[in-house]
Amino acid sequence: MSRLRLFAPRPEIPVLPQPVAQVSLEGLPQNALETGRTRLVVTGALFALAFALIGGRLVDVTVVKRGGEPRFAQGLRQPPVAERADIVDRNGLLLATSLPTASLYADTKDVIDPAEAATKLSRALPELNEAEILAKLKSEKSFVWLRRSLTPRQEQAVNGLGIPGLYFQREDRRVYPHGALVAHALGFANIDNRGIAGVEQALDDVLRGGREPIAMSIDLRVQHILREELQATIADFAAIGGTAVVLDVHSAEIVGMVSLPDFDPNRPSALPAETRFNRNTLGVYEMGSTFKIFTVAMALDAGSTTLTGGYDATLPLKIGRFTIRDDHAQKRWLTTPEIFMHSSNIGSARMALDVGAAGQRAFFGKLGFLKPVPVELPESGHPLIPRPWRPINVMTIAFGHGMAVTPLHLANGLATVVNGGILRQPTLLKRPEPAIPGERVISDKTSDQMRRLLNLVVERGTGKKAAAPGYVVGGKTGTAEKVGNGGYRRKALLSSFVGAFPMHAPRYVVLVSVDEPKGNKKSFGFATAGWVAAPAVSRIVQRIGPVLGVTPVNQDAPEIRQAVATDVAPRSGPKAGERKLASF
Amino acid sequence: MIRRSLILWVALAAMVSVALFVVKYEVKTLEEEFARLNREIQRNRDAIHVLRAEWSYLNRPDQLAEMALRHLDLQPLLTGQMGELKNLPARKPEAAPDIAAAPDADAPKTAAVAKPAKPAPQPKPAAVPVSARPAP
Repeated sequence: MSRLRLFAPRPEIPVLPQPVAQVSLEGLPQNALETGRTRLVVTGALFALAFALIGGRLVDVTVVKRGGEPRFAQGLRQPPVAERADIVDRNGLLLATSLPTASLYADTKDVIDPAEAATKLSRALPELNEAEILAKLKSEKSFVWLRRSLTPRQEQAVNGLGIPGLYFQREDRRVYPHGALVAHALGFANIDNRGIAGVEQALDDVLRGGREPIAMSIDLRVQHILREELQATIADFAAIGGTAVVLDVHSAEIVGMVSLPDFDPNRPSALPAETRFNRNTLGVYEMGSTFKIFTVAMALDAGSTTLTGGYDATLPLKIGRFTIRDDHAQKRWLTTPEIFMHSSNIGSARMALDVGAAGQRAFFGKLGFLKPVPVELPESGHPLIPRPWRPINVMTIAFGHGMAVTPLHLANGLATVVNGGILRQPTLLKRPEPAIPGERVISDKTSDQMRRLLNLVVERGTGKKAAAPGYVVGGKTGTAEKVGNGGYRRKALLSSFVGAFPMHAPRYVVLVSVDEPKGNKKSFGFATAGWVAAPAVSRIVQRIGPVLGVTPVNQDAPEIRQAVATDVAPRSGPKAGERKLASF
Repeated sequence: MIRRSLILWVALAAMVSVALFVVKYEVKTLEEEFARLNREIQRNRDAIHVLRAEWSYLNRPDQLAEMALRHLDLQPLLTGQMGELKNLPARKPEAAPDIAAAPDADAPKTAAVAKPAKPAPQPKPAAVPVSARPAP
């Protein structure tokens, strides 16, 4: 056969006859041959092992671990880490986000016609001053900021001008789409994206590392209603400010929190510093008669008085140089419900004295009124409490003077009183599980009695204007004179109403507090809580009720009456009360 | 014999290298496509992010309230306008027998066809007339 010869023919190796080899290979040559063979065997074995390893690994990688795709192929499954996580409201609406913005700068050496560029720029960005831009463009610098943080639309406009020498620098900027609406609760971050107020500061670490948006407990719709109504009230009564809070009675989530005047967190320094003051959590105020809620709850819980018991409020109470008078004086013996509904200072002072200083202090301690509210805000005011706690303090604190707390203290206190007596820690963050543990402050029975008394104030007492048809509002008015120049100023009032609804099964606490309202024609010159704050609460409840899914009820239905009604008239007569007075 | 297997192996090696070459370029194209898609995803994500902020900005409650006032003929919900299903009055008893009575009157021939001539008149749903709405 003809063979295809690709290679040169092999040299014929002569096969030596065995015996010759056996004879000739002895001694040194044989040793060399043995060594060579051994080396060959070892090397061959090593290679074989290496190939076996590689082969094995190949099978392992391609056949055994088939599922393991290279990470590269997975691509952008995760969004890139933003500088700060978003903040959303309880329904997922965006409250704060970090946007990549373009900042405009110029390399003046590349600008051909500075005058024309300046004219065009000032037309595209009307907030820029043409003369200033011209000066900057003529400065011969290779880097000069023209405008920081342009909106995408502005960026497009500038790009459309086609001026050479203008460039953009990408920067992350914190944006608050809702402006002033959630200003104090949100706080704001500075230009370096560090939170320096509100939740932005309190949760700075979480926000900076985080990717998942943080959900606040605020409901934007409720927040809007609160702000609108509070603004209207402040305008109506020419007040200097005000606060409003809506608190979930059971989960202690702050659903709405407004402090006016407020500011735009997008431009925090555009307004005076006092606009950044959060009255709800940082401001401490003597809240006035709203404290009678706690006085009565304390006395009922301690058993020192009952719903049928009462105190004599005929004459003003004189203690040293102080005289305690009633604003809505009835000048007679009053039952506990009457003391509460007519907001009798004398009656509540006597009621508190029966419990005593130690008991009162312990009660407010249990309510959390002696320390700042533990809420996710750096702006947390420390209550002002008397030291030492003397009998005169006991009496004034009974009707809300001589002790200053934040409005949030008050709202959470009322939530505790009406929710069955359990104190829970208020929060600005949405609770994943609404049922949280708390500490019992008053008994269920006292809480039930307090709900009846609070409803009584709205139905027949000082808070009639807080009534909202169908929502069974209950609450308490409080008109406090503000402290100033070594005494109380009769004309400078803090008019508050703190209430809850629906009273037969409370779900939300609403607090409105108006700072220095002035009486107007509609209120016949009155600037007291019943005329200022109570109507605002009524309007707020009627608007937030449907938003929060509270079903209105027929207030005259027997099951509702049974849950909220209370007897006002003394059953045992004034005599029993006088007997009670003897202990004083 | 050795040469024949050698040719086989050389041919195999050539085929494998061609295949490798083809696959390599295919992978390269895919990688480019992949990078392009990733860039596009990133761009879209950025755009969504900005649009979400804009959406939130355009949904400011005061803005919505103003636009609703301007463009919609709606009033705030009043307490009296809310009710529960169980409080609805029961259906009027004469509404139901109307259909059953129809074949009776028309004699058996229409009843055999089992098709009502026309739907029995129903009581109109109690709609609130436009004029009855509370004035703004």
